[in-house]
Amino acid sequence: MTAWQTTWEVARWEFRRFLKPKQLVISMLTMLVTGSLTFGIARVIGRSRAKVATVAVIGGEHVGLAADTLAKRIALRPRPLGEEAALRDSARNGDIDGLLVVRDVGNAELVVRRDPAWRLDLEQALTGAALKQRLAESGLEPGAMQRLTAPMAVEVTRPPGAGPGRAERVLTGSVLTLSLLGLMTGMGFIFAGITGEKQQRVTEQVISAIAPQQWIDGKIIGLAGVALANTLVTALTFGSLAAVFVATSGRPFTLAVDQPLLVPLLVLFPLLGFALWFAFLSAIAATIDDPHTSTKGSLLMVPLVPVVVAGLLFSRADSAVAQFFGVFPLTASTVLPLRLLMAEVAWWEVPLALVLLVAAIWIFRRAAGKIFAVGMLMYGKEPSVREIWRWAREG
Amino acid sequence: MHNSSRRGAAVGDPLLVVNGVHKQYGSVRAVDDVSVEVHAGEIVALLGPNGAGKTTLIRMLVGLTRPDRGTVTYHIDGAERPGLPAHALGYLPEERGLYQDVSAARTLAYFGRLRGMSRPDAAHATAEWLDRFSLSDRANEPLKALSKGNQQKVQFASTVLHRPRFAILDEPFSGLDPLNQDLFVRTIRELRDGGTTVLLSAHQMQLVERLADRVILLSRGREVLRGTIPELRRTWSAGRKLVVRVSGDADPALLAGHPAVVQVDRTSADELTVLTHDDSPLSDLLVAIGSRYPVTSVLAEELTLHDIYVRSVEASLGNGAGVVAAGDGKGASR
Repeated sequence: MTAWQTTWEVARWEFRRFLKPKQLVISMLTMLVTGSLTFGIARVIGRSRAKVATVAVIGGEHVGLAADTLAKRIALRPRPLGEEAALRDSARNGDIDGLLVVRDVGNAELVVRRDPAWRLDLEQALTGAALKQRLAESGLEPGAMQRLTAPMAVEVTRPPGAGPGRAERVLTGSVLTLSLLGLMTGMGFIFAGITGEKQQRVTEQVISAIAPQQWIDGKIIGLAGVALANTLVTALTFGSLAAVFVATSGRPFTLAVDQPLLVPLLVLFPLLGFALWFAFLSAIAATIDDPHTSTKGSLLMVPLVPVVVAGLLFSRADSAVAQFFGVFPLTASTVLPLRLLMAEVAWWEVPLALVLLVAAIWIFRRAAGKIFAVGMLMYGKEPSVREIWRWAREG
Repeated sequence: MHNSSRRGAAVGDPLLVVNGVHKQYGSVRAVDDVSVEVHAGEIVALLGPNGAGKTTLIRMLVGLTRPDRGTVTYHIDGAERPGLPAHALGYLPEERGLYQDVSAARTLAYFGRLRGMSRPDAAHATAEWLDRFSLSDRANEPLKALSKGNQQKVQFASTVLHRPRFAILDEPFSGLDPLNQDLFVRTIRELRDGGTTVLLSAHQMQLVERLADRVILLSRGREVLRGTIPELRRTWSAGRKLVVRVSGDADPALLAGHPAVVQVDRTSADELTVLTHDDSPLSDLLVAIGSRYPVTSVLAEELTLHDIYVRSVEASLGNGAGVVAAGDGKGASR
């Protein structure tokens, strides 16, 4: 067999070993059920929030409080002063949600059984009404008063390519979340697979048959495939749920990104990131003798750094720092997709980031192959970081 | 010796030539100036106590580690090369294991593919080996569901299902019951007869004695003995082995000082094993034994490989004796 055929055979083996279609289907169904339940519960909660509180108002005329002021949240029911005692009892007993007694334009009392969620809304409405009342009492003409109290009208216009909107933000968040998910999934498989192979003593027989580089290349391809499959299933599951949500929300969800290769690039860069970090993780996992006692576990968190960097740059996607990290090979897999969706990307950024990232993958896999070759045959002792560095350089 | 070797390697020609290899780990000389030849079509046993350097030497032969000095050369298809291609080598390591969550059939097919077999050939060989080891009905069970002995069979099959030219088997019998040991002995012979040259490392001397065409013994990283088993017997026995049964207590001290006796051991309450000098008159010794013990039987036995092994290793540990090549006239001192 050629080196490539051997690598492909290993990739196929790793993919079939770790991809469990049955578990994936169960996981997808579980996610769908959980998502639907969450969606349903959110709707129920939304409706429960829409419940209108009934508040009896005595003396509302002091501030000109109209009955429909807070119609969506509170039904204000003007009542005569003579019913105050009975209404107080009703409010204390919970027969009504509250009793508002307005003494004058500066004082009011709210009688409730417990502090209500709508109190601030009521206070703001009262303050607004009192302000209008005071302005009216100051002798201002109605026109002047209207001008003073009129809210400022802000019109939002957003031409295509002008900047990120809701759709871009949601999609960027989704890409970063899926990248994180793919990395975490692959990390788990690599860690379990390689340390398991060492503990099950499979390594000598395999390395006597194939070159360590072919083995690690096959692992990277196979496990990246498993991570991709898992991520795709998750994306499809949550994507379909999100589509239902968007369709039923009535709010527009349109992308205003002028990049013809957007979708392929949004898939390609995270995938290349998987390859880069899986090479790193394979090398580290090969140096771990016992995962329960190893001190190298913290190094497995390093691949999460690019996701964190992208998260920090979320609201600064058009900054010079973001531009740098967008082409820097260790962070390009997450920051460039962020910039593609959230900022203006210069024509040279994508090809430069691609070339640097591919070069970094090549260097990582070569170094990882050398570390892997020594680490996989080392039992009972974990190498120091200095030793690992020497293997990576010397082979 | 055996049938002609397949695929061009003539039986008796050197397949592997190891010349003066050294390997040192820190201050420990794991392998110290070892030279070995293995010829096509033979079974060579590489013996030695734990820590003698066998596994280190084997790892150098497989290419897992490099010698600090010396050379490892394979002669294959008329060319000399430092290692064998994957399809020509089978390696059963001492540190071994399998993917516990994968079935025997998939495991074997995978290892066949890694050794360069086509997919159909690997599938065919997998079925053949599972059948040979009576595992066909359990082919699709995960390996963790199989007994240790059955897992060992799968491991063995994964080493040789591609019919390598050279198989290195490090401790193939460990953990096997006697029936399966016999099965492996038969299988290794069949492999040899089919053209696979075998280098075998094992501690089960009675099995090695049944299998090996030649023996190489290492101790403390050095080669201390080599030759065929009959040659070793002739060279190393240096006398006879008598099994003396007595009625009553077999006290070895009564014979310890006799000039004809090399070594005397009590092998049971009423049995002694006596090793004698080759040139001492047997009649004198028998008289001496008869005068000291109430003898019920005396049996003369051939020295076993176990005896030769123990004496050779003890000798090497005692005085650092050099290599004893069977038939070269040198005896190991005691």
